[in-house]
Amino acid sequence: MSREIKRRIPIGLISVITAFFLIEYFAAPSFTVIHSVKGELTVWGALIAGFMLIFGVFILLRHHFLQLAVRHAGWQDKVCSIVFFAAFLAFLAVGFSTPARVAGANYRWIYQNMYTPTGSAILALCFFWCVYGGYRTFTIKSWESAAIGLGAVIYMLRLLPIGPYYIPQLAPFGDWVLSTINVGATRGGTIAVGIAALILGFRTLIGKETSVLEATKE
Amino acid sequence: MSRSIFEKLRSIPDQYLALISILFMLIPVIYPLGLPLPISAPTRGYYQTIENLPSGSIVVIDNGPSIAQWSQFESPELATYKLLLSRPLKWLSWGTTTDGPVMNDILLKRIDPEKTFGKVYGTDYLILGYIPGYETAIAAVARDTHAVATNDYYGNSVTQYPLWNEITNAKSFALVISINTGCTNMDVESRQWYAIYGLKILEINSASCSAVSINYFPNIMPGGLWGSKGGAELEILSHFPGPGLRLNDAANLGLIPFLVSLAVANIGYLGTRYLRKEKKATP
Repeated sequence: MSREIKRRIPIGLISVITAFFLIEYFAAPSFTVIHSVKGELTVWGALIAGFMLIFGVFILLRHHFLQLAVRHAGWQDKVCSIVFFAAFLAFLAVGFSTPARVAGANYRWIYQNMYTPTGSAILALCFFWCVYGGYRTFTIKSWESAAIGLGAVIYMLRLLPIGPYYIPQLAPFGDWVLSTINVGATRGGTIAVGIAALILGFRTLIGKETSVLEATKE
Repeated sequence: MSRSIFEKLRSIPDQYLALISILFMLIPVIYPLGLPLPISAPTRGYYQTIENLPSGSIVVIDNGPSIAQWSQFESPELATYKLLLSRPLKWLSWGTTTDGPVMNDILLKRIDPEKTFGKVYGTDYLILGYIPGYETAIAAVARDTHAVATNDYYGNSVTQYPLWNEITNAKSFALVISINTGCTNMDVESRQWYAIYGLKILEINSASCSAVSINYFPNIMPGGLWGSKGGAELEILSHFPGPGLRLNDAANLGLIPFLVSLAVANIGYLGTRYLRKEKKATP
């Protein structure tokens, strides 16, 4: 099969399904066949997503296996892969060790006492980077940066219990900034994203959108 | 040549910044502040929406927190479960992330719904496992809930539960509660639940996402809880004390060093600039 045909089949499938979903949205309830086929396709989507999860696990395993066995990777990368395999096998073993599997007490224990503290610790490190980043880079060099800085300070002070406690006007003012000025700006962004999605959808519909296929290339 | 005070302010080592931050975060651990917390409009909306649901309504919870953000999600989730269980409501929870059902289970073990509220698993509430696909999965759950799951989170067949038989699709639900860590979560949820089925959505998300999610308040999203602050506010409103206020103190005091570092950096920057200008002007 030529490369062109290999590309055209998935693009054609995507276009047809997109068109079908679009038609279904506007179809009257009496067109039961269209609605039931769309319903079936939606459930297929969830099933395919489940399959892709298994596929993702396979890709991850392959990557770390190659890093350990074949590739001329540095020792740090090899250590990372060993840690990955150890954690993967530990979670797998604990998950399957009891009939309750992931709902079992052992799995809950590993989640609560290993995964949660590790995840929280890594996330907590971000806080220090925020402080360093704010200190090193957030200097008011223009009117624009002053406006961003002022907005950030108001937003953060609004979050602090000390802020509204000592400056009672801060809470309503912070709410106003968040729900009026901020909403005006972010809605503009949301609408822009919506229009872009519409264009992307239209390009997909006519078979012009190939980025879904190209994105898989390394 | 000795450096000016402003230049010194611009070059504080990272270690000192980290130390000051840690000291600030330790304050509420040693001495809880317990400052009064004003209740924000989204939290009031969140509480009122649940309170106003007719008796017997079924709520669907798209449960997708990240367990790494435990401190942000613990109190709002806990307060929500307590509020839902205290009312004559039923709810179905399913995972949009792998962490969702695990966290749900851990928190419910802590509440003990049967003992505390007299609520029975399978009749009043039900927990499904992780259903992959996020938006695709939401669309599938809304379209035909029975088609996406055969077992609950505990591996038991769902058909044995009376609540499962009361649910068919989005039309069975009166409200959606979405728990997620993504700042574009409300875009996804509103596309699938509100645009097609007209269901209102309440959101639990991390504090940093409130600036984006607020776009949907109050029409599509009549309320939202963002971070431990939202949880603490709901704890006050619902009269179910929890970890929110303590966590809120710690999280918020952590912001003070950030604000102080911003102020110090800018005083240093502006001072240095002023001194340079003066030096240039001096003949």
